[in-house]
Amino acid sequence: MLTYADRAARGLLSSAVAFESDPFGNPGSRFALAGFTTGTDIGTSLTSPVGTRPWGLRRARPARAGRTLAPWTYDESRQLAVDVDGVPLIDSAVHGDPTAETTSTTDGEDRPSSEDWDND
Amino acid sequence: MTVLILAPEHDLTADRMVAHLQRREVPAARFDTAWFPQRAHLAATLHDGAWAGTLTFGERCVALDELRSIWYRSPSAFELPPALSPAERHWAAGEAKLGLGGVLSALPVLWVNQPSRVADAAFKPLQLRVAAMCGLAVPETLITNDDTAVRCFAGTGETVSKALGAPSIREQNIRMTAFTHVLDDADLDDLRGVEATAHQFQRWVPKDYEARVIVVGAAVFAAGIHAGTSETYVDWRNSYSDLAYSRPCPPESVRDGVVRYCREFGLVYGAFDFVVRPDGCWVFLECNAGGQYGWIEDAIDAPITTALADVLAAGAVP
Repeated sequence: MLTYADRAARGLLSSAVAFESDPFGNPGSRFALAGFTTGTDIGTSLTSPVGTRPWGLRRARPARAGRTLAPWTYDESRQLAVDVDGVPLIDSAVHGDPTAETTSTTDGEDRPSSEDWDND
Repeated sequence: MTVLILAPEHDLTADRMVAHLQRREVPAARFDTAWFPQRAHLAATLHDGAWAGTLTFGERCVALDELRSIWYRSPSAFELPPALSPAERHWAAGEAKLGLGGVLSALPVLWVNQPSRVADAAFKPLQLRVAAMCGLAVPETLITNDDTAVRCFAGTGETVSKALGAPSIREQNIRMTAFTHVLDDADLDDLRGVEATAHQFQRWVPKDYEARVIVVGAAVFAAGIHAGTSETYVDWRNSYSDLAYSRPCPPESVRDGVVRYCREFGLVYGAFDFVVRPDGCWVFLECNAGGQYGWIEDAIDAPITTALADVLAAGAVP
Protein backbone atom coordinates (compact mmCIF):
# COMPACT_ATOMS: atom_id res chain seq x y z
CA MET A 1 0.00 0.00 0.00
CA LEU A 2 1.32 3.42 -0.92
CA THR A 3 1.87 5.88 1.89
CA TYR A 4 0.54 9.38 1.54
CA ALA A 5 4.09 10.55 0.85
CA ASP A 6 4.46 7.98 -1.91
CA ARG A 7 1.27 9.14 -3.55
CA ALA A 8 2.28 12.77 -3.23
CA ALA A 9 5.70 12.06 -4.69
CA ARG A 10 4.08 10.41 -7.68
CA GLY A 11 1.82 13.37 -8.25
CA LEU A 12 -1.26 11.40 -7.28
CA LEU A 13 -2.34 13.98 -4.75
CA SER A 14 -2.50 17.71 -4.78
CA SER A 15 -0.34 19.24 -2.10
CA ALA A 16 -1.27 21.45 0.78
CA VAL A 17 -0.86 25.05 1.67
CA ALA A 18 2.47 26.72 1.20
CA PHE A 19 2.92 30.22 2.44
CA GLU A 20 4.27 32.76 0.03
CA SER A 21 7.09 33.60 2.36
CA ASP A 22 8.23 30.02 2.61
CA PRO A 23 11.27 29.88 0.38
CA PHE A 24 10.88 26.27 -0.67
CA GLY A 25 7.23 25.44 -0.12
CA ASN A 26 5.93 23.12 -2.77
CA PRO A 27 5.19 25.31 -5.84
CA GLY A 28 2.25 23.08 -6.61
CA SER A 29 0.86 23.49 -3.15
CA ARG A 30 -1.42 26.43 -3.69
CA PHE A 31 -4.73 24.69 -3.37
CA ALA A 32 -7.33 26.96 -4.90
CA LEU A 33 -5.05 29.92 -4.47
CA ALA A 34 -4.16 30.71 -8.06
CA GLY A 35 -3.80 34.46 -8.35
CA PHE A 36 -4.17 34.89 -4.64
CA THR A 37 -1.99 37.52 -3.09
CA THR A 38 -1.83 38.90 0.39
CA GLY A 39 -0.39 42.19 -0.76
CA THR A 40 2.41 43.94 1.02
CA ASP A 41 0.59 46.14 3.51
CA ILE A 42 -1.71 43.74 5.33
CA GLY A 43 -0.07 44.63 8.61
CA THR A 44 -1.84 47.97 8.53
CA SER A 45 -5.26 46.50 7.78
CA LEU A 46 -8.20 47.81 9.74
CA THR A 47 -10.57 45.55 11.64
CA SER A 48 -13.81 44.89 9.81
CA PRO A 49 -17.14 45.28 11.63
CA VAL A 50 -18.89 42.30 13.17
CA GLY A 51 -20.73 40.52 10.42
CA THR A 52 -18.02 41.15 7.92
CA ARG A 53 -15.06 39.99 9.97
CA PRO A 54 -14.55 36.22 9.93
CA TRP A 55 -16.16 34.80 13.05
CA GLY A 56 -12.94 33.03 13.96
CA LEU A 57 -11.22 36.37 14.40
CA ARG A 58 -13.92 38.01 16.48
CA ARG A 59 -12.17 37.17 19.74
CA ALA A 60 -8.69 37.97 18.48
CA ARG A 61 -6.86 40.09 21.00
CA PRO A 62 -3.47 41.75 21.11
CA ALA A 63 -0.68 39.33 21.82
CA ARG A 64 1.13 39.81 25.06
CA ALA A 65 4.41 41.56 24.74
CA GLY A 66 7.38 39.41 23.88
CA ARG A 67 10.77 39.80 25.40
CA THR A 68 12.98 42.63 24.21
CA LEU A 69 16.23 41.29 22.92
CA ALA A 70 19.60 42.72 23.72
CA PRO A 71 21.69 43.55 20.63
CA TRP A 72 23.03 40.54 18.80
CA THR A 73 24.74 39.77 15.52
CA TYR A 74 25.19 36.68 13.44
CA ASP A 75 28.72 35.31 13.53
CA GLU A 76 29.32 33.86 10.07
CA SER A 77 32.44 32.05 11.15
CA ARG A 78 30.89 30.28 14.13
CA GLN A 79 27.51 30.08 12.38
CA LEU A 80 25.49 31.24 15.35
CA ALA A 81 24.21 34.40 16.96
CA VAL A 82 26.41 36.23 19.46
CA ASP A 83 25.95 39.17 21.81
CA VAL A 84 27.92 42.40 21.70
CA ASP A 85 30.80 40.73 23.54
CA GLY A 86 30.95 37.89 21.05
CA VAL A 87 29.43 35.38 23.47
CA PRO A 88 27.12 32.89 21.73
CA LEU A 89 23.55 33.59 22.72
CA ILE A 90 23.10 29.96 23.69
CA ASP A 91 25.82 30.48 26.33
CA SER A 92 24.45 33.78 27.51
CA ALA A 93 22.41 34.00 30.69
CA VAL A 94 20.15 36.57 29.08
CA HIS A 95 19.41 34.64 25.94
CA GLY A 96 20.14 31.12 26.86
CA ASP A 97 16.88 30.16 28.49
CA PRO A 98 14.46 29.11 25.81
CA THR A 99 11.65 29.06 28.31
CA ALA A 100 11.95 32.76 28.95
CA GLU A 101 8.85 34.81 29.62
CA THR A 102 7.18 35.58 26.36
CA THR A 103 4.24 34.79 24.19
CA SER A 104 5.77 36.02 21.02
CA THR A 105 5.44 32.66 19.39
CA THR A 106 2.49 30.37 19.09
CA ASP A 107 4.41 27.18 19.18
CA GLY A 108 6.86 27.10 21.99
CA GLU A 109 9.69 29.33 22.79
CA ASP A 110 12.74 28.28 20.90
CA ARG A 111 13.63 31.69 19.63
CA PRO A 112 12.25 34.37 21.86
CA SER A 113 12.54 37.32 19.57
CA SER A 114 11.08 35.74 16.51
CA GLU A 115 7.48 35.88 15.52
CA ASP A 116 6.76 32.31 14.71
CA TRP A 117 3.15 32.90 13.94
CA ASP A 118 2.80 30.55 11.03
CA ASN A 119 4.27 27.76 13.08
CA ASP A 120 1.20 27.02 15.15
CA MET B 1 30.02 14.93 4.03
CA THR B 2 28.26 18.00 5.31
CA VAL B 3 25.00 18.71 7.09
CA LEU B 4 23.28 21.75 5.57
CA ILE B 5 21.18 23.68 8.07
CA LEU B 6 18.62 26.01 6.53
CA ALA B 7 17.61 28.39 9.31
CA PRO B 8 17.20 32.10 10.03
CA GLU B 9 20.09 33.98 11.59
CA HIS B 10 18.37 34.21 14.96
CA ASP B 11 17.33 30.73 15.92
CA LEU B 12 18.68 29.48 19.22
CA THR B 13 17.68 25.92 18.47
CA ALA B 14 19.69 25.99 15.26
CA ASP B 15 22.56 27.59 17.21
CA ARG B 16 22.41 24.71 19.62
CA MET B 17 22.51 22.19 16.77
CA VAL B 18 25.48 23.91 15.15
CA ALA B 19 27.39 23.77 18.43
CA HIS B 20 26.39 20.15 18.95
CA LEU B 21 27.56 19.08 15.50
CA GLN B 22 30.80 20.99 15.94
CA ARG B 23 31.48 19.14 19.18
CA ARG B 24 30.95 15.87 17.33
CA GLU B 25 33.19 17.13 14.52
CA VAL B 26 30.41 16.69 11.99
CA PRO B 27 30.86 19.26 9.20
CA ALA B 28 27.90 21.61 9.14
CA ALA B 29 27.06 24.62 7.00
CA ARG B 30 24.31 26.98 8.07
CA PHE B 31 22.52 28.97 5.42
CA ASP B 32 19.56 31.34 5.54
CA THR B 33 17.67 31.51 2.28
CA ALA B 34 17.30 35.25 2.88
CA TRP B 35 20.92 35.50 1.79
CA PHE B 36 19.96 34.38 -1.71
CA PRO B 37 20.46 35.86 -4.22
CA GLN B 38 22.20 38.97 -2.94
CA ARG B 39 24.66 37.40 -0.50
CA ALA B 40 24.92 33.91 -1.89
CA HIS B 41 25.75 32.32 -5.20
CA LEU B 42 24.52 29.06 -6.63
CA ALA B 43 26.28 27.27 -9.47
CA ALA B 44 24.78 23.84 -10.08
CA THR B 45 25.23 21.63 -13.11
CA LEU B 46 23.41 18.49 -14.14
CA HIS B 47 25.89 15.96 -15.46
CA ASP B 48 25.28 12.28 -16.06
CA GLY B 49 21.93 12.63 -14.38
CA ALA B 50 23.20 14.06 -11.11
CA TRP B 51 23.40 17.60 -9.79
CA ALA B 52 26.73 18.92 -8.60
CA GLY B 53 28.17 22.35 -7.98
CA THR B 54 28.47 24.83 -5.19
CA LEU B 55 26.48 27.09 -2.92
CA THR B 56 28.73 29.93 -1.83
CA PHE B 57 28.03 32.42 0.96
CA GLY B 58 30.41 34.47 3.06
CA GLU B 59 33.64 32.55 3.28
CA ARG B 60 31.91 29.23 2.90
CA CYS B 61 31.64 27.15 -0.25
CA VAL B 62 29.40 24.11 0.06
CA ALA B 63 29.85 21.32 -2.47
CA LEU B 64 26.37 20.11 -3.28
CA ASP B 65 27.45 16.54 -3.98
CA GLU B 66 29.07 16.34 -0.56
CA LEU B 67 25.91 17.01 1.40
CA ARG B 68 24.56 14.17 3.49
CA SER B 69 21.46 15.78 4.92
CA ILE B 70 19.49 19.03 5.04
CA TRP B 71 17.72 20.35 8.13
CA TYR B 72 14.93 22.65 7.01
CA ARG B 73 14.20 24.89 9.97
CA SER B 74 11.96 27.67 8.73
CA PRO B 75 14.58 29.71 6.87
CA SER B 76 13.66 33.26 5.85
CA ALA B 77 12.12 34.42 2.60
CA PHE B 78 14.45 35.32 -0.25
CA GLU B 79 15.67 38.90 -0.13
CA LEU B 80 15.66 40.19 -3.66
CA PRO B 81 17.35 43.28 -5.04
CA PRO B 82 15.36 46.30 -3.79
CA ALA B 83 15.38 47.91 -7.22
CA LEU B 84 13.06 45.25 -8.60
CA SER B 85 9.47 46.20 -9.30
CA PRO B 86 6.77 44.23 -7.45
CA ALA B 87 6.09 42.19 -10.57
CA GLU B 88 9.77 41.51 -11.11
CA ARG B 89 10.14 40.62 -7.45
CA HIS B 90 7.28 38.13 -7.60
CA TRP B 91 8.73 36.49 -10.67
CA ALA B 92 12.25 36.45 -9.30
CA ALA B 93 11.08 34.90 -6.02
CA GLY B 94 9.42 32.12 -7.96
CA GLU B 95 12.55 31.50 -9.98
CA ALA B 96 14.65 31.45 -6.81
CA LYS B 97 12.30 28.93 -5.21
CA LEU B 98 12.23 26.69 -8.26
CA GLY B 99 15.95 27.07 -8.90
CA LEU B 100 17.64 26.91 -5.51
CA GLY B 101 14.85 24.91 -3.92
CA GLY B 102 14.70 22.67 -6.96
CA VAL B 103 18.41 21.89 -6.96
CA LEU B 104 18.46 21.13 -3.25
CA SER B 105 15.33 19.00 -3.59
CA ALA B 106 17.01 17.03 -6.38
CA LEU B 107 19.97 16.03 -4.23
CA PRO B 108 20.00 12.45 -2.94
CA VAL B 109 20.14 13.51 0.70
CA LEU B 110 18.00 13.11 3.78
CA TRP B 111 15.73 16.08 4.52
CA VAL B 112 14.40 16.88 7.96
CA ASN B 113 11.78 17.62 6.74
CA GLN B 114 11.37 17.91 3.00
CA PRO B 115 9.42 21.19 2.55
CA SER B 116 6.91 19.65 0.19
CA ARG B 117 6.11 16.96 2.73
CA VAL B 118 5.67 19.69 5.35
CA ALA B 119 3.25 21.45 3.02
CA ASP B 120 1.38 18.22 2.43
CA ALA B 121 1.08 17.68 6.16
CA ALA B 122 -0.31 21.16 6.83
CA PHE B 123 -3.94 20.29 6.13
CA LYS B 124 -5.59 19.77 9.52
CA PRO B 125 -8.49 17.72 8.12
CA LEU B 126 -5.99 15.42 6.45
CA GLN B 127 -3.95 15.24 9.65
CA LEU B 128 -6.99 14.04 11.56
CA ARG B 129 -7.85 11.39 9.00
CA VAL B 130 -4.30 10.08 8.79
CA ALA B 131 -4.02 10.11 12.58
CA ALA B 132 -7.18 8.02 12.84
CA MET B 133 -5.82 5.71 10.18
CA CYS B 134 -2.71 5.29 12.34
CA GLY B 135 -4.76 4.16 15.30
CA LEU B 136 -4.79 7.47 17.19
CA ALA B 137 -7.94 8.74 18.87
CA VAL B 138 -9.18 11.97 17.29
CA PRO B 139 -11.94 14.38 18.31
CA GLU B 140 -15.12 14.87 16.32
CA THR B 141 -14.53 17.84 14.07
CA LEU B 142 -16.61 20.12 11.88
CA ILE B 143 -15.21 22.28 9.09
CA THR B 144 -17.81 24.66 7.79
CA ASN B 145 -18.88 28.15 6.80
CA ASP B 146 -22.51 27.36 7.60
CA ASP B 147 -23.94 28.66 10.88
CA THR B 148 -26.67 26.03 10.92
CA ALA B 149 -24.04 23.30 10.82
CA VAL B 150 -22.25 24.97 13.71
CA ARG B 151 -25.38 25.07 15.87
CA CYS B 152 -26.19 21.48 15.02
CA PHE B 153 -22.67 20.31 15.94
CA ALA B 154 -22.50 22.40 19.10
CA GLY B 155 -25.92 21.13 20.11
CA THR B 156 -24.55 17.64 20.59
CA GLY B 157 -21.67 18.41 22.93
CA GLU B 158 -19.26 20.95 24.31
CA THR B 159 -17.43 22.55 21.41
CA VAL B 160 -14.33 24.62 20.78
CA SER B 161 -13.29 26.71 17.81
CA LYS B 162 -9.73 26.84 16.63
CA ALA B 163 -7.93 28.12 13.58
CA LEU B 164 -7.04 25.72 10.82
CA GLY B 165 -3.74 27.50 10.29
CA ALA B 166 -1.97 30.33 12.04
CA PRO B 167 -3.95 31.53 15.07
CA SER B 168 -2.90 35.10 14.56
CA ILE B 169 -3.25 38.12 12.36
CA ARG B 170 -1.49 41.46 12.15
CA GLU B 171 -3.75 44.51 12.04
CA GLN B 172 -2.90 48.17 12.44
CA ASN B 173 0.61 46.96 13.19
CA ILE B 174 -0.57 45.01 16.20
CA ARG B 175 -0.22 41.25 16.46
CA MET B 176 -3.55 39.72 17.36
CA THR B 177 -4.03 36.14 18.48
CA ALA B 178 -7.10 33.94 18.32
CA PHE B 179 -6.43 30.80 20.29
CA THR B 180 -8.77 27.94 21.04
CA HIS B 181 -12.12 29.13 22.38
CA VAL B 182 -14.88 27.23 24.14
CA LEU B 183 -18.22 28.12 22.59
CA ASP B 184 -20.97 29.48 24.83
CA ASP B 185 -24.57 30.52 24.28
CA ALA B 186 -23.56 34.03 23.27
CA ASP B 187 -21.35 32.65 20.54
CA LEU B 188 -24.12 30.50 19.17
CA ASP B 189 -26.56 33.41 19.26
CA ASP B 190 -24.38 35.44 16.92
CA LEU B 191 -22.43 33.49 14.35
CA ARG B 192 -22.21 36.30 11.85
CA GLY B 193 -18.95 35.99 9.99
CA VAL B 194 -18.89 32.19 9.98
CA GLU B 195 -19.91 32.39 6.36
CA ALA B 196 -16.85 34.50 5.55
CA THR B 197 -14.50 31.53 5.38
CA ALA B 198 -13.97 27.95 6.53
CA HIS B 199 -13.97 27.52 10.29
CA GLN B 200 -12.95 24.57 12.42
CA PHE B 201 -15.08 23.42 15.32
CA GLN B 202 -14.10 20.51 17.45
CA ARG B 203 -15.55 18.55 20.33
CA TRP B 204 -14.02 19.63 23.62
CA VAL B 205 -11.94 16.77 24.97
CA PRO B 206 -12.06 16.32 28.76
CA LYS B 207 -8.55 17.13 29.85
CA ASP B 208 -6.23 15.98 32.58
CA TYR B 209 -3.30 17.64 30.86
CA GLU B 210 -1.89 18.17 27.38
CA ALA B 211 1.17 16.63 25.86
CA ARG B 212 3.61 17.51 23.16
CA VAL B 213 5.16 14.47 21.54
CA ILE B 214 8.27 14.92 19.45
CA VAL B 215 9.15 12.29 16.88
CA VAL B 216 12.65 12.09 15.44
CA GLY B 217 12.86 9.12 13.13
CA ALA B 218 11.92 6.23 15.37
CA ALA B 219 12.62 8.09 18.61
CA VAL B 220 9.66 9.45 20.57
CA PHE B 221 9.87 12.07 23.32
CA ALA B 222 6.80 13.12 25.29
CA ALA B 223 6.29 16.14 27.52
CA GLY B 224 3.23 16.64 29.67
CA ILE B 225 2.05 20.26 29.67
CA HIS B 226 0.12 21.21 32.79
CA ALA B 227 -1.91 24.40 32.79
CA GLY B 228 -1.78 26.73 35.74
CA THR B 229 -4.64 29.01 34.73
CA SER B 230 -8.08 28.70 33.21
CA GLU B 231 -6.78 30.32 30.04
CA THR B 232 -3.92 27.89 29.58
CA TYR B 233 -6.23 25.02 30.47
CA VAL B 234 -8.14 25.77 27.26
CA ASP B 235 -5.04 26.55 25.17
CA TRP B 236 -1.56 26.36 26.69
CA ARG B 237 -0.21 28.82 24.14
CA ASN B 238 -1.95 31.62 26.02
CA SER B 239 0.88 31.96 28.53
CA TYR B 240 4.04 29.89 28.72
CA SER B 241 4.89 31.18 32.16
CA ASP B 242 1.78 29.54 33.60
CA LEU B 243 2.78 26.04 32.52
CA ALA B 244 4.46 23.17 34.29
CA TYR B 245 5.97 20.14 32.59
CA SER B 246 6.26 16.44 33.24
CA ARG B 247 7.64 13.47 31.39
CA PRO B 248 4.78 11.02 30.87
CA CYS B 249 5.08 7.68 29.15
CA PRO B 250 2.70 7.53 26.20
CA PRO B 251 0.82 4.29 25.61
CA GLU B 252 2.47 1.97 23.12
CA SER B 253 -0.38 2.56 20.66
CA VAL B 254 0.41 6.29 20.72
CA ARG B 255 4.13 5.73 20.24
CA ASP B 256 3.45 3.42 17.32
CA GLY B 257 0.79 5.72 15.93
CA VAL B 258 2.91 8.85 15.79
CA VAL B 259 5.82 7.04 14.14
CA ARG B 260 3.47 5.53 11.60
CA TYR B 261 1.87 8.94 11.05
CA CYS B 262 5.25 10.43 10.18
CA ARG B 263 5.98 7.57 7.84
CA GLU B 264 2.65 8.09 6.11
CA PHE B 265 3.45 11.73 5.45
CA GLY B 266 7.12 11.14 4.66
CA LEU B 267 8.21 13.12 7.72
CA VAL B 268 11.37 12.47 9.71
CA TYR B 269 10.36 14.96 12.42
CA GLY B 270 7.01 15.87 13.87
CA ALA B 271 5.70 17.83 16.87
CA PHE B 272 2.38 16.37 17.96
CA ASP B 273 -0.16 17.87 20.32
CA PHE B 274 -2.36 15.59 22.38
CA VAL B 275 -4.95 15.97 25.10
CA VAL B 276 -4.64 13.34 27.82
CA ARG B 277 -8.08 12.65 29.20
CA PRO B 278 -8.72 11.90 32.88
CA ASP B 279 -9.21 8.24 31.93
CA GLY B 280 -5.69 8.18 30.46
CA CYS B 281 -6.69 8.13 26.80
CA TRP B 282 -4.45 10.23 24.55
CA VAL B 283 -6.39 12.21 21.92
CA PHE B 284 -4.57 13.59 18.90
CA LEU B 285 -5.16 17.27 18.15
CA GLU B 286 -2.62 18.08 15.47
CA CYS B 287 0.91 17.62 14.26
CA ASN B 288 3.19 20.44 13.26
CA ALA B 289 5.92 19.12 11.00
CA GLY B 290 8.01 22.19 11.80
CA GLY B 291 7.00 22.59 15.42
CA GLN B 292 9.38 23.80 18.09
CA TYR B 293 11.13 21.48 20.50
CA GLY B 294 13.89 23.51 22.15
CA TRP B 295 11.86 24.64 25.13
CA ILE B 296 10.47 21.15 25.62
CA GLU B 297 13.96 19.70 25.48
CA ASP B 298 14.96 21.94 28.36
CA ALA B 299 11.76 21.44 30.29
CA ILE B 300 11.95 17.65 30.40
CA ASP B 301 15.68 17.24 29.89
CA ALA B 302 15.22 15.12 26.79
CA PRO B 303 18.07 14.58 24.30
CA ILE B 304 16.13 15.76 21.27
CA THR B 305 19.02 17.72 19.75
CA THR B 306 21.18 14.61 20.08
CA ALA B 307 18.57 12.46 18.38
CA LEU B 308 18.19 14.95 15.55
CA ALA B 309 21.95 15.25 15.20
CA ASP B 310 22.23 11.47 15.01
CA VAL B 311 19.83 11.43 12.08
CA LEU B 312 21.42 14.41 10.32
CA ALA B 313 24.92 13.05 10.79
CA ALA B 314 23.96 9.62 9.51
CA GLY B 315 22.02 11.03 6.59
CA ALA B 316 19.48 8.33 7.29
CA VAL B 317 16.78 7.34 9.73
CA PRO B 318 17.97 4.47 11.92
